[in-house]
Amino acid sequence: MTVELLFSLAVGVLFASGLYLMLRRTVVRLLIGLSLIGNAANLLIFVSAGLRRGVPPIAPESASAPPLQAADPLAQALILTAIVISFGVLGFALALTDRTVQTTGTDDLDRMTEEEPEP
Amino acid sequence: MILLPVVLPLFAAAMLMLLHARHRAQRLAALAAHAAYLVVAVLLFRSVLRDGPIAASLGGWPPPFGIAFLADALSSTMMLLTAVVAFPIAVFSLALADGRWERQGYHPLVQVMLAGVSGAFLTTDLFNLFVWFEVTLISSFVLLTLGNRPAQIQGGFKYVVLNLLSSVVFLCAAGLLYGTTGTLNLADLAQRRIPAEDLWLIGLIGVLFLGTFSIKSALFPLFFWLPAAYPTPAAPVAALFAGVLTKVGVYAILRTGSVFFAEASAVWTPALLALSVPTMVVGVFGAIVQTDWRRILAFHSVSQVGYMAAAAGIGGKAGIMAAVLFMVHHGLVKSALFVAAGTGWRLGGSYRLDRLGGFARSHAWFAALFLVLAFSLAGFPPSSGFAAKLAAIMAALDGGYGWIAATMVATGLFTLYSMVKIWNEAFWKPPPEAASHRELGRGERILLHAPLAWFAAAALAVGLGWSPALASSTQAGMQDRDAYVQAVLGGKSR
Repeated sequence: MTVELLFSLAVGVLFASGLYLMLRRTVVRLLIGLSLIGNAANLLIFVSAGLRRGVPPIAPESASAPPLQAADPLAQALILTAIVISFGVLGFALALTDRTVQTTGTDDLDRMTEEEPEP
Repeated sequence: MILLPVVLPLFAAAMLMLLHARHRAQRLAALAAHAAYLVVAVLLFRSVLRDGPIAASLGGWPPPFGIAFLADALSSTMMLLTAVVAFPIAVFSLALADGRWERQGYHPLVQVMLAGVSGAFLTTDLFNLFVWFEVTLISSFVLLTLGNRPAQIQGGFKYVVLNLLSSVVFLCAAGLLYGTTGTLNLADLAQRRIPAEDLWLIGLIGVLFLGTFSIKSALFPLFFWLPAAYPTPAAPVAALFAGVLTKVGVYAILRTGSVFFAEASAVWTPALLALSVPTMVVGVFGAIVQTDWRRILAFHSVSQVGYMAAAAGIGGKAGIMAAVLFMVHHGLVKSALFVAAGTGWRLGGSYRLDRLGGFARSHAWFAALFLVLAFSLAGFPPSSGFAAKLAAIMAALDGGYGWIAATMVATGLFTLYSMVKIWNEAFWKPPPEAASHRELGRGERILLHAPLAWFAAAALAVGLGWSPALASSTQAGMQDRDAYVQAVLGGKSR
């Protein structure tokens, strides 16, 4: 129970710091905040599927199913998928940020409101 | 058969990448791929209407353990809509293509986006839905910024950040749901008995899901990425996004709402209604003050999503039918109007209405087609807009939501106002002195007019009659939770 509480607190702290960073005006902080929130979400899935140690989900030869108190492998598969996806997306977002800063000449989100009328 | 809408575009994307350096061959191959997708969508739609839903379990894992695909009336309607919208846009893109987009991978990316959208329509698993959303998103990110103009980069940045945030919310919601119920399969969820002490948690998760879908479909508080992003990309990309992408969000609301959150409708109905009214009003008022052709259309997209969300929130037979009909109508007409904007840009060299003029005199056919489509958006009979708006307003009145019906009528009036504004500026007034004017070759003229004619014909066809049959059958497939559960879990695979 205490372990779960600890993990839940960690998720909360990650979300809070991610959101705080996202509300800053610098684009780089925004991105760091976004990746923190992504990690928080992964950890959230991990906790919500239940934390169990030492019982791998492998069925012994005599049984047809893994032991009941085994860790849930599906949640970890979900997280793995999410990590891979967020890695790719974050890579694109980084490149786009670089372009944004280059074309607008500023990394301040409040100044990126000028509208370009014509293509 | 049921996997084809996903596999075919992915295969086409790979083939198109091989043709990277040969623009002419690539364009023809892309057109062929779109045609093949259209054929598959039509066949699937017919087969589903005739013989009922088609299910498939991927990798041989029986649901709910593996991921299952299900093509029911709703998904096959959405796929048909996607195909009917994407094909003429592919034709339209031939008129504008100059090799620049091809070098940056326009054709393969469109195919990947189609695959992602089809996957989202077909899957019955919530986490798999997340994956298809991401497939769609990442290809749309690149398509949106294709060309690297500063406005695109800025609009694209907002689009990317907001959508990444909504993806994270989606992920959290899916994780919490799995932790609570132990399953992510929609049919399995629908037949679970949720213990009473967990209901508040399900309600909370429902709010998270609604939040992420409302960002994706551009509902009221978090809609501003859409008018920032949609007016910036290349003309065919904007048309494709307007027709297809926001519908994926609304589809997700409908799908999860009818199957999974039937218990949580105490939360969803008021939330959707409360979000949809400001969406309609803010969108249409935003459109009124704009002077850029595509900005007007983008703000209208927001406003029209409000109609769909309101209809989905009202729910019941009439509400869901109206929502589906509205998605079909809006997918056709809004794509068409973006194509018209692109055509205007091709002819007059600008999207700004003060720099355009005189199309009614110089391009009578273009003007006539635009008129049909603009009236359809505003909701004149006998167009698709009339059928859709009538259905939505009737659903609101039947459900006892007079104020929503009144908002819909008023919003329609302002929609008409801004369509008239585009007409007056771009078509009716004499061309301004500084206007540049391009003469079209014969081939180009066909490539620009044929898609508009296709859209106008489709909008009239939907309005003129076979829409009731289509919508009611779609609705019949959705309303019945037991049928959905049976189709997914019953292992009836073909």
